[in-house]
Amino acid sequence: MWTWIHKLGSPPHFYRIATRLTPWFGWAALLLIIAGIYGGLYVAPTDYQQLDGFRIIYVHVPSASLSLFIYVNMALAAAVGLVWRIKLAHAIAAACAPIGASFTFLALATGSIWAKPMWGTWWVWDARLTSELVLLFLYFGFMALRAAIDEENRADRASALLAIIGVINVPIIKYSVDWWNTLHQPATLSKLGKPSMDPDMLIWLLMMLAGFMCFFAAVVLTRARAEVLLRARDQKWVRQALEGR
Amino acid sequence: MMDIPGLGTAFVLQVKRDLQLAFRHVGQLANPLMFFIMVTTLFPLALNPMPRLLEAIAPGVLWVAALLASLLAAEGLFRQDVDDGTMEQLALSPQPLALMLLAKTIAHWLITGLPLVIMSPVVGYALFLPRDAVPTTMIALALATPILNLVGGSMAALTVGLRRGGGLLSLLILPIVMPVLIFGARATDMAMTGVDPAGALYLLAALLLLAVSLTPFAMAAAMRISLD
Amino acid sequence: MPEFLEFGKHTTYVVSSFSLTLVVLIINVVSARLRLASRVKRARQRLALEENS
Repeated sequence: MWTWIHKLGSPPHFYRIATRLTPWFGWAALLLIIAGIYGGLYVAPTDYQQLDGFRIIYVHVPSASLSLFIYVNMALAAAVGLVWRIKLAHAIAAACAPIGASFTFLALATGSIWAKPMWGTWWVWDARLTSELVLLFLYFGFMALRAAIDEENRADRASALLAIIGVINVPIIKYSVDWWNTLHQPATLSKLGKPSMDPDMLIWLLMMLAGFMCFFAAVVLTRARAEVLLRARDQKWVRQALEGR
Repeated sequence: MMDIPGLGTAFVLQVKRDLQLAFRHVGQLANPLMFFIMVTTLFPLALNPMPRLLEAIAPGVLWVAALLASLLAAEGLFRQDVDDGTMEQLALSPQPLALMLLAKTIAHWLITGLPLVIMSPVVGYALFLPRDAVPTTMIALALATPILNLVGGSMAALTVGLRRGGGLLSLLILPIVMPVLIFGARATDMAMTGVDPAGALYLLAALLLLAVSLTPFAMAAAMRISLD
Repeated sequence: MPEFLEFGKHTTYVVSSFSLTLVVLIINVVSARLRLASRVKRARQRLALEENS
């Protein structure tokens, strides 16, 4: 079992596996997202309160979920890299950041677009929106810190510490709608209890969520391969890996 | 065998040393305070000195100014010691680095944060802050400014010695201290409207406890990463 | 507006949020692939240099 874990940390092994898995995740993502968008826009019944405006949920909720999910992944990878000094973990954390920032931006933007017809305003400083904005700044800070440090090792470790410090924001975002009176509605999906959404509408949401997850997997594996190559320097496996392509 | 000073002694000595060093350059000491005063007096100058308008924005202006002043202060917290090698000696010493950095941050707060608290009634007067809101604001600032210095110190340790610092430090600090800004401004606002500000103050106190217990370790870890 | 893009009074909002999403997703894919391609190219160049020296 330790061999398996040790292998996981090996860049050439990771590179090979990532190359093989990426197309699978990529195609799965494409199918799920296309089906999800089609279903969400044309098959799901119209909401009696929000009319067709509610359809934005099919891009807003998956984006928001991914923004949190990716940050947690990033912080975990960062922690593993920091504590056990595994370069591959740092490579993965670095790969996560731009993707996470994109989804956070999307969550904020689609949320804002949705808010205009529903709440009458583009923005409100309630707990959830504010903490999601903070998440965007955390992603930017992570990327900016990396960019500011020339020396790779210090860049990895400093940004890893930053990611870990910022993780405290994630539960705040998640539970802000429970802890405070916010304008933003409470969670639609939770692990326990029935979802508060009609199954006819829910299925497309789950499909989009799954699609986004596969999308993240495909893109992060691609970026991680690039990061791993960057850190490889003079290692022989690079030649073999590139021949195989 | 040389006697290694106990934790308490080492702590106090570190605070004293930093205070003494800082007072050698009294001019620089005043920078954050001057900044705080200037920013808050610029608003009445730039906007018409209409009491009602200023009173409405007083909490926001005051707290943003305090935040900006602490950002300014954070820049210089560790730079000197890292540059002249003292920090490396500190990291190598038998004293826990986390404790020593906490001591430095406390000294730093005494020099840059406490003056803000003391000056806040004067600044509040310029912003037409109601007399009743002043005690609450002072308490809230007394709780908040150490948090700002502690978080500022953590980020400063992370970025010490980097050439292109500048906006980076602010970008790193701001997300983490947003709750402080929110609750601090809320406390002042509540005091202004006659609502009991206890809730906001308790939250600030809780954040302070969290910061004091966690940030020294973050600072030490960050400093070791930066010194490597 | 083609008929399949009609969504009642919320058309602009729905269409803009979905298009924005597609744009961001595509940018992510393109940017990731470009990055990998450039790293691979640089690695190949380095390997070629090593072989020659």
